[in-house]
Amino acid sequence: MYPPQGKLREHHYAFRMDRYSFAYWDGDYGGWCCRSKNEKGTISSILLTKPQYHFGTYKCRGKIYLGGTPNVLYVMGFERHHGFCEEGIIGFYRGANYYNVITAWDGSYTITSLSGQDWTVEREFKIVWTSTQVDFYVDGALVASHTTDIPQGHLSWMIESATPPDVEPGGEIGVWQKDFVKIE
Amino acid sequence: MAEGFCENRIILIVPTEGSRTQGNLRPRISLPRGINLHVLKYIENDTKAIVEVWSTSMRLDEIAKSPNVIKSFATVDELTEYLSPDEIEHIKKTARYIRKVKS
Repeated sequence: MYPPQGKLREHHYAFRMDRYSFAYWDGDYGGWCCRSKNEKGTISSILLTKPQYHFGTYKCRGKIYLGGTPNVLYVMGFERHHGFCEEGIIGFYRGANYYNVITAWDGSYTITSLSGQDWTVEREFKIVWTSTQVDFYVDGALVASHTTDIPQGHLSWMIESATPPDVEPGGEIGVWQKDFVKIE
Repeated sequence: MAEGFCENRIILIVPTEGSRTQGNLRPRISLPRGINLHVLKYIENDTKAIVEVWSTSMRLDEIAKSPNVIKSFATVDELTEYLSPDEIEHIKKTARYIRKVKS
């Protein structure tokens, strides 16, 4: 069962796709993936509709594919309401030109654009989420900590691939994730 | 609505704790609520970290005086003792901080 532990009927997956994007289980990789073709404004996401995650430590493995320029590629994310990130989100994502981490709650958000990152090869991502702070780790080392806009309510799991709304990305993009687990 | 890039930032060199193999390598510094942190680079075999702390609402003077702080710098250009010119340019292009507060 992926993710998380439990019975399938307790976890309602939602798949958001359109004509030029696809979200599916990649058996070769052993995890979920979202891919988008070289078209503007195309989105694919996988999410759990029930916000069931709260304070704790979570990790997964993941990677991105940058055949073109993305709008966003969420390799590890938790969200309150899909598509309304300002209402609540924690995540690692690649934007058009930056590797970012984000926290958001109740309309306010904080973004740190990271130095020295390359997620086109598989990495281990870890989020340590408390009531006052979120710590972001890549490959066993802290890369950023946020103490502002920390989500206080339950969030759901998600990954996403989206191309820019007004320009073609220049090639295919995608995101893969596997081995998601709650550690503590 | 306050929005935009945060320029209230300061660079610190601090000792680390934990290890990559244990999955918990991190700078040894406590963050008051309102101050965020970005690790620019781990140095000296992961025993120290160059970090940038930033805030849109708090002064950074006090955290720069924390007992664990080994050195502090106003800008990344001052890090020539620790980083190559290419690394400094990379950080200047990639490190960016944004906070938007709901009005």
